[in-house]
Amino acid sequence: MRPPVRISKEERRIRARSVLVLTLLLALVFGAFLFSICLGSVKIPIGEVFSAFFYGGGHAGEESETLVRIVMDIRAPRALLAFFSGGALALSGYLLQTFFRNPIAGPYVLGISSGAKLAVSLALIISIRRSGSISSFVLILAAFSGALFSTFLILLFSLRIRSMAVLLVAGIMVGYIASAGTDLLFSFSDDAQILNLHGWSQGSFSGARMGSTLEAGAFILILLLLVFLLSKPIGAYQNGEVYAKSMGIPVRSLQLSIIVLSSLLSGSVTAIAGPVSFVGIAVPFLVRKMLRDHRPIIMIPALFLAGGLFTELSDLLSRMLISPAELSLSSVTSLIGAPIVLVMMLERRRSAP
Amino acid sequence: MLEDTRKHHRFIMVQSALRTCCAKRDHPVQKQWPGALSMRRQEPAPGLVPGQEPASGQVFFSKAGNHSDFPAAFWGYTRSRSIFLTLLIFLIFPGISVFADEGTKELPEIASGFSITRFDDGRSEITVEDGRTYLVLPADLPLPEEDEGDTEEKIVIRQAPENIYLANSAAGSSFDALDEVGHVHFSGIRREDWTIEAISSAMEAGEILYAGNYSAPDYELLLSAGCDLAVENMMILHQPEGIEKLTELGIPVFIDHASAEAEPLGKTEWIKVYGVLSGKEEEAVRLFEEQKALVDALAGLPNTEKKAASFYVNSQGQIVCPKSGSAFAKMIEMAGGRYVFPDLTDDSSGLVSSIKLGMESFFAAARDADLLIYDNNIAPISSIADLIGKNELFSAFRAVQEGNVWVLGKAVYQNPDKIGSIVRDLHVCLTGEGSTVYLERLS
Repeated sequence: MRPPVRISKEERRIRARSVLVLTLLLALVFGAFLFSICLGSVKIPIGEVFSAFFYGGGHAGEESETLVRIVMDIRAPRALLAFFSGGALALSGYLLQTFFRNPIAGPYVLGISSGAKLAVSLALIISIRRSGSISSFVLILAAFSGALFSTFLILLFSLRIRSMAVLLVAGIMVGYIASAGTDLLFSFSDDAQILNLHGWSQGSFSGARMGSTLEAGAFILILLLLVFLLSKPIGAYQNGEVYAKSMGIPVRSLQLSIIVLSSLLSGSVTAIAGPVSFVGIAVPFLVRKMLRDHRPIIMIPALFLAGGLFTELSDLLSRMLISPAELSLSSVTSLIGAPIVLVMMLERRRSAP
Repeated sequence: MLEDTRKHHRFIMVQSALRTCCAKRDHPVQKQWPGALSMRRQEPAPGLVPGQEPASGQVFFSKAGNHSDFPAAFWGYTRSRSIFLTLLIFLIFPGISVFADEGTKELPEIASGFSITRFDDGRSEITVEDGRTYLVLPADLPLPEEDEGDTEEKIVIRQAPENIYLANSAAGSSFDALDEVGHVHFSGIRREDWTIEAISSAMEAGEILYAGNYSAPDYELLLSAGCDLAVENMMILHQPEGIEKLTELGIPVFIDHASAEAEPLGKTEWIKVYGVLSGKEEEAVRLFEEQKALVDALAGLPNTEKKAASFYVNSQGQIVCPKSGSAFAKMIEMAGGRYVFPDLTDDSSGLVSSIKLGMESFFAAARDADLLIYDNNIAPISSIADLIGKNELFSAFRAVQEGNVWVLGKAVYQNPDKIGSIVRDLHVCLTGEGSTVYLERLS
């Protein structure tokens, strides 16, 4: 029989806080989702929205069917996609920060988004020249492979570069090279392509469809589960490589799985919605502030919920502020996210001796 | 494969009917093509394995391999009976290819991006160069059975759409010319960006609502208002999820390719497509012929041999010019001038109609030009001083010194149905005789 574990008061407080934060986040995510499906340019009474969402429409009739379609085919997939993508981005940022041991690492800072952008512009130019059009599948594939290629380069560098800070700089350099490549490609493309790529690079959930949202959601949830299963070794790794090794953790393969999972997460979001800035940096910072218990087993679900919440609300703002036109998602996330990063850096400076 | 098998069935039916009809050796058909009636396909139908019994329906005819024993031997040959049988076969199989309504395909005179096929029952098919086919159905005509399965391939548009989302400025001018602006209720372009009076005033009056950019339209607004057609520009081809989303919501998406037409009047001819959509085909043809006549009137005149350049200065100070061979360069030639760049091309796709130059190359080519035409669409200027403000070298241009600088607004993009009038305007700029509507001389 195991002796009863004595939990100190402090410990109990920390745990209570974690439970509170997780519950609160869950409630807020649910609330934001309801908000997202209730608000839009078409005024739909809340009762109608609920009956549409939960019972598939209250009464028969063409008008009611239109309302159901607005809620189920336009608002719900968009809100869900924003939630999943936000969660994935926050998680991806957290993993990168763990890997680089640096709180400013994120998919947007490293070359991952720029790599995706380069691949998308290549795909746009080549396929428009060949056939005059492009399918969304090709675009997603291009963005995904671009993101993975950038990660692959960073991994390649990590074989030679031991210092994480230098590796981070190398990652940023990859981003610059990819951006320069994209700019070079622009010289060979027409205004319409540049305009479209510009639109793409601002990120948007505008065209979200239920089918693809559920597919992306399932993919992201599987990745979340995998990351969650790694939370113990990740926790040990956060305490230092030597400690992790002493715990019998294969550090090299852990590093590899961290970076692969991270790039799969951010690559899939970039592929679906285009690059979305700052979620990956701002959200982990906020969650660290909210929680006192920084073990991955608590952090990972909290991050996913908070990232989803942040992006869902940003998306709601982006489509509501100047409706029926839309703000680009990245402008909203940057406008909220960048000041948070600034505050984070200022506070670090202050706390530094 | 299935289609091939069907064709094979039809082939056998026709063959059998012919045989029934003129089994006599001395029948004119048999005289003309001796093998025609005894012709028998040895190879199995596509989709059938040799030796395999063909599918039902085919059995009856294919067993009649020897023409002499069927049907004359079986029925006792009489002419009236065979005619009756032939008619019966044709009645039973109305889909038989000789009677199927294949429609009449009409190719445009000048444009190369579309073709229109008309059918007897009033439906039309518009095939566009991107491979999309639009089936335009009169309001009361049910969807033809043969097309029910192909809705994936054909985009069905009910005539005449009354609740249009218009995200293509050039199409706006066609709607205006056809007096169809009343059926446009949503715009993907802001009011201030329209130069078409009817549309901007309708937007001011709230009859046309701005419903978001083509890349992120307000889907719920369009769906709730019962939008029945989205007219898009070619840029949406790079934004496939926009097309997919609208299609999913049951809104047909029409993509206008007029901007890709190489011939200026080819752009104008796209009005015929909108004539089909709105059921005003004759009106559309008349409008096109009008513009064509304006250009034709200039065709007989000798070229003035004056050199004209067209350009704008982008935000990086580069000079953006139409390529040689682009629609605008051709319009200068049609108006009786010479485009300053006889051979300005690069290896980029044909869709790109402009090219960026450094000031040096532009200076070398256009310094002696008699006429400078500034495209006021992107980085507008309002005086010659503005132009010199963009680059002092402009003051050394002959056209600047002679005050021969003209600006061209959005008219050329938003009024493809006025190409003839714009060419006439250009002719006025070159000759200095008459007044202009679409071009304005800078002071």
